Amino acid sequence: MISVDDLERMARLAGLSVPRADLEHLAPHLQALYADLARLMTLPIAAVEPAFRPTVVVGPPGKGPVAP
Amino acid sequence: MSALAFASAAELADRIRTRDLSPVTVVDDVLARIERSGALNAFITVTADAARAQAGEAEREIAAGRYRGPLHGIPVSLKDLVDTQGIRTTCGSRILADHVPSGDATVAARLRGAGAVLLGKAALHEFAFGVTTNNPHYGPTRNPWRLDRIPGGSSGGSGAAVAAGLGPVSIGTDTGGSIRIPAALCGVVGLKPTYGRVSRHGVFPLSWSLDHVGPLTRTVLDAALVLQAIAGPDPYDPSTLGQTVPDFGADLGKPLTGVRVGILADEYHGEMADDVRVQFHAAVDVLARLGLVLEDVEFPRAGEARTAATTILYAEAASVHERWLTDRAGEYGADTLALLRQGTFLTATQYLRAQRVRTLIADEMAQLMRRYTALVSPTIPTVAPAIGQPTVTLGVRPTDARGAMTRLVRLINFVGLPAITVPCGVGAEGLPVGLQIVGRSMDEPTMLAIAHAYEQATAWHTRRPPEPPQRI
Repeated sequence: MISVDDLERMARLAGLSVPRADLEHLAPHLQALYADLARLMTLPIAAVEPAFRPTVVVGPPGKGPVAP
Repeated sequence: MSALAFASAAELADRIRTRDLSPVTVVDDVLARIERSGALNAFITVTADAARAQAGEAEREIAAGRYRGPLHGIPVSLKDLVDTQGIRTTCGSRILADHVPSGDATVAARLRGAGAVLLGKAALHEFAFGVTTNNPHYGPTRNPWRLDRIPGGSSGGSGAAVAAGLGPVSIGTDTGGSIRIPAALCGVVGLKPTYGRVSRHGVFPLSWSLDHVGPLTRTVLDAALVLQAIAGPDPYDPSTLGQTVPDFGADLGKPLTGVRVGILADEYHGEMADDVRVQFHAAVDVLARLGLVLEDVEFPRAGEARTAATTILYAEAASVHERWLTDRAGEYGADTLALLRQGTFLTATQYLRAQRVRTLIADEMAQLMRRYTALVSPTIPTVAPAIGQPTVTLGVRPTDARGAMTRLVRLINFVGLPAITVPCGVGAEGLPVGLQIVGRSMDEPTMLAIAHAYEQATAWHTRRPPEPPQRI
């Protein structure tokens, strides 16, 4: 669980000045996102490199050019 | 209503090419219409004098036998985050309110090269980070079908303009649905090409690895014509290199019997308002009558894809805005600032986790797309909400309006596939509903062929909104 105090410290480290009231508003959204992100760790990505750009190469041979 | 107002670009082009119609007449007609439609607030900047001058030049060139092609003399608008040399480009923000670029974005330059006439810069959600185009600095843009409704966003000015007959073409950008959302809510066509198909050079970024540039038009043929003009390699955007540019209209009108299409029917994609569900099922019936073979399919790990896409969007957007978040935070609108700030609280490892999940899901999507030529879903699970409305109801469940608007479109940006929305019916209070067709990577011609066949089998694209008032 991340607290508003935690967010305040993180903001300070990042050089950001964020009013405490704004952090209180952000906290539940971030809490939910962090929980969702934690669940991503259960996916089989141990041997997977990051994408950075989408590269869905599809189609039968000879159909369409290759995605960049 | 002017007879020219709702002519397609292709129809105008036929008459301009044969000199039956002057580009000057077309542009004067559209500019007068923009002037009369002020209540929509579809434009941040109208470049009337320059447009008339460009139209005159186009007329002279065509008279001299130098016809450039189907966009020559056609009026277009650009979302106001596409750089235009000497014309202010605000990004819908206060921070860049006086920003005048020294050069054209590649997409703007290509349209100029094709002879298109720039009408002006279309309104957008601040920095393209939102779906309402309820802009705190330039006022709300309104949906031509009902002025109390949002046009969608972030390319809301583009959607409102094309729907209201303020030019047949507008260029938008799409990071999590920002072309398809306003196109669907305003009842027009919106095309998001494959990632890397169209250069992003000179287009202010929201999220580098999710951003796409594409057209909003009133017909599928027009979308193909515009894509033809703006697609292709650009050394200033490495993601565009290595592609072959096909004839995007080559397959329009070809039979589609036996083409396999997946209906996105998993739990994630099944949540929608009842009026949208009725129209979507009717659209699927039309596709079946056209001979397509339709089967229910699941988007791989849709919930996880949504989390990863959100993380990538927030982190990249916060990076784009990092300096201003430090020293000009007070100049953002409240909703944009709150979203940007969320990105500043994500760690590098969380961002990289999301990008690794992207690799995983893109690979699973590739497996799915080997079996299907295209996928279909509603574009938006609801009709346009009211301006300022925080939630919408999908079935029985109230849900955050922003989440609902982006639900069915943003995953396609995550995997970079091309997608198009076409009008497919009328929902509550006469508001438009859109059908989303997702194609294989770099296979826009087949996707366009399916969209065109659907469009020609129905009359939804011929519906017109009421004449907008000058003031509200």
